[in-house]
Amino acid sequence: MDGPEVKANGVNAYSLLRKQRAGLFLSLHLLMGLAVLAIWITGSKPLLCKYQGEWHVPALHDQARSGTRLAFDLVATADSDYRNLTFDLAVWPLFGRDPHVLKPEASWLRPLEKDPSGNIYWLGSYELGRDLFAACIYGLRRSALLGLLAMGIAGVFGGIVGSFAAFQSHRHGRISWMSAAAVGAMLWVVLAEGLHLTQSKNVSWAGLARMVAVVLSLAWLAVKTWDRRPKIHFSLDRLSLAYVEIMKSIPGLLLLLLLVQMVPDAGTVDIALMVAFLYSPVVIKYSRSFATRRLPEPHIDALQALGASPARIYFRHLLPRIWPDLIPVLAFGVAQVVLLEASLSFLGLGLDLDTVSLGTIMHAARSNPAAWWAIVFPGALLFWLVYSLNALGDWFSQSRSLSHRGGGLKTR
Amino acid sequence: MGAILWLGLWVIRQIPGSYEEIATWDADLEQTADASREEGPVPGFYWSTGSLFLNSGGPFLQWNGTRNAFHQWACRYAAMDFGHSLVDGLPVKEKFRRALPWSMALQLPAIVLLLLLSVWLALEAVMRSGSWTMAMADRALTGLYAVPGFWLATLLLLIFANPECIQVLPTGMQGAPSANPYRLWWVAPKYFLLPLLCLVLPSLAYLQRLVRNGLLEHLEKPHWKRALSTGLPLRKALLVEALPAALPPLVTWMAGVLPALVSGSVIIEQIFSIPGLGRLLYQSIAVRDWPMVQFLFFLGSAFTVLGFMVSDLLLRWMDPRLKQTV
Repeated sequence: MDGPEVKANGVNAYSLLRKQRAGLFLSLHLLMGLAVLAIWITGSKPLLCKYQGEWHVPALHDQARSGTRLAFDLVATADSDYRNLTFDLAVWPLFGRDPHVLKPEASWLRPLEKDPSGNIYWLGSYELGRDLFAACIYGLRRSALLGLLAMGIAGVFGGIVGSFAAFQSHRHGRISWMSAAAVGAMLWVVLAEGLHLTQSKNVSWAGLARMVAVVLSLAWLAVKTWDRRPKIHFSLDRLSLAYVEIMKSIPGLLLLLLLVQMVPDAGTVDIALMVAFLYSPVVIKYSRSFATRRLPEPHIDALQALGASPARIYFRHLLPRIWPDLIPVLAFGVAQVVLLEASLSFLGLGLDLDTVSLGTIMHAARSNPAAWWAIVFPGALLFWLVYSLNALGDWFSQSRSLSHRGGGLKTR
Repeated sequence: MGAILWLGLWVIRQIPGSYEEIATWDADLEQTADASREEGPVPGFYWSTGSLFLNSGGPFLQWNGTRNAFHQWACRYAAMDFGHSLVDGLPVKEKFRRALPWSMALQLPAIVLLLLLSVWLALEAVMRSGSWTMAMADRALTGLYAVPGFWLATLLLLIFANPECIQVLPTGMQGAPSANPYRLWWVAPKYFLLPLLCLVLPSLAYLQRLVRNGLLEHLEKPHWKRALSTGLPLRKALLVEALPAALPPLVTWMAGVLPALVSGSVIIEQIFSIPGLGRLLYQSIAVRDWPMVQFLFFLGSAFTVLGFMVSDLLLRWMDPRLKQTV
C-alpha cells in the first residue's frame, strides 16, 4: 500500500497488486479459482462423458430444468445414480459430493462425522443431508456469479449513461429539437413497450421486430440530427441526475424485497437484474463525476481543435478512461451485492430455497440452532469474499488516489 | 416523490395475485363488488396505454379519469386513512403504532452510540497514528466492515445464548419482563445488548473512516498550524478546530439512516425476534399483507426524502460556502 504516486493502470495494476499485496492477490485468485472450478472440484455428475456413442457435458446441466434432460438423465433418475451408469468415457470431478444430492438419512451430521454407509463429511452436512463442503463451494460460485453479473450490468449501463451525460453537458447541453424528440420517443418506446412486453402473453415476432426497427431508426435519427441548427436546451445530465435523485430516495432494500416478490421463482439472473437496477444510480453518479473530472483535460480540447467528431472523442478518448476509474466502485459494489443477496436469502426472501447459495445454507441452518457448522463455515467464506473485495477496492482507490467507499445500498 | 409512490404502488400491483387479494378485501368491507364486476378491474393510473407494436388489446391511450387506484389511494392517504391489515383486520396505523417503539428503542441508541464511538475512534486514530494499537484497531475495524450483519448476529447468538455454550443472554424478546421497550431498557438492558452490537459493529469502520479522513484532510491546512500555535492541547485543538470540518459527511450519513427509525432493520429484528417495524415489514411481505407493506414503503420513502432535505439544510447552515454556489 504505497502512496498516491503509484499509478495503477490497465495491465500494470495486475502485477502491482501481486507485488504490493501478495496476500490479497493470492486470496482473490483462490476465491475465483474455487468459484470457477467448483464443478471440477466436486459434483456427482461427470464433467464430460461419452454415453452410447454421444458426447455430453452433464455437469453444466442445471438440475432445476428438468425439461431439457439429456438421454441418460432419463436413465439416471436421481442425481446420485450417475456412478452406476456405464460410460464409454467419462471425466469426473475431483470429489463425488454434490449439494444437490439429497440423503435425508444423513442430515445434520457434524464435521468429520460419518453417515450410516461410512462416507465421511468433512464439514458436516445440513438439511436433507446436503454435503456442506460441496454446498459452500457451489454457494461461493453462486454468490460470485450473481455479484459479478449484477455489477457487470450496472457497470456497463451506469458507466455509459453517466459519462455520456457528463460529456453532453460539457458540450453545452444543447441538441437539435429533432434529436431531443427522437431521444424522448426512444425512451418512451423502450420503457412503455418494454412494459407491455413483460406483461403480454402473446408476443408476436413481427411486432417485436417492428419495435426494434423503430427504436433503431429513432436512434439513427437522434445521432444524425444531433447538431442540426434549431437547437434547444436538452440536458441529458439533468435527466440522469433526476433519475439518480429519484432512485436515491427509494429505500433500496424495501424495493428489492418487493421486486423479488414480483417474479414467482426468482433465479440468479432475475435477482442480478433487480440489484443492477437498484445499483445503477450509484454507478451513474460516480461515472458522471469521473467524466466531469476528465473532460477539462487539455487533450480533449486538442482533439476538438483537430476536428475529431464528438462520437470519436467520446468512444475512443473518454469512455475507455472511465472504466479503470470505475473499478473500485464496482469492487465495493460486488461486495455489497454479495452481502445483499446473502441477507435476502438468509431471510428466505431471496433465491429459491432449493438453489444452493451461501445465504440459503444459512437459512436452512436457522431451523436447527444446534448446527453451528452450517452457520460458521458458509459465513466465514462470505466474510472472506467480502473482505477481499473490499480490500481490492481500497487498494485500487488508494493507488489511484481516489477516495470513495460504500455509498451503495444499505443492508441494514 | 409522486414518482416514487407511484412506483411503489405499481410494483405491488405487479406482484402476482396481489390485485385480486386487495380487491376482494375491499369488496368484503365496502360492498363495492358489484361496481367492480360491472366496470372491470380498477386501472392503475389516470391514463393507461396500449402498445403500438404488440397486441395488447386496448387503445393506444386511454383516459381513466379519477376512477383509478392511484387516485383513490392518494385520496385515502390524504385523509389519513391508511387502510386495514389484510391479516387481522387491525388498522394499519394501529399495527404501526405498536411496532414503532421497539424500532425506536433499538435504532436511536444504536445511532447515538455509532456517532460517539466513531468520533472517539477517529480522534484516537489521528492522535496515536503510527502506534501499533491503532494499527490493530484499524485492521479490526476493516474486518468488521466486511462481516455480514446477520452472520455476526447468529454467531453471537450461538456463543452467548446457547445452552451448549455460554447462556448468559436471552435469544430474543420472548419472555421479556416488560412489554414496553423503553421500560425494558431500564429493567433488563441485556435484552438489547446483542441487537445493539450487531447494529453498531458493522457500520463502525465506515463512519470512523469518514471522520478520520475529514480530520486528516484538515491537518494539512494552514489554519491548523495557527490552532496549534495558540498553545491548545492536541486533543482540544482537534475537538474545537478540526472536528467541525469533519462533520459534514456524518450529517449526510445521518440523512441516510433517518428512515431506519421508521423502517427498523429487517434482518436484526427478525433474528432477535424483536417485534419492531422491520419484523412487521418482513411478516407483511411473507403473508402478502399489501396495505401494510404499502404504508411502510410510503413511510420509508417519505423519511428518506425528509432526511435529505434536513441534511441539505443542516449542511448549508454548517458550511456557508455551499450557499454561494447554489
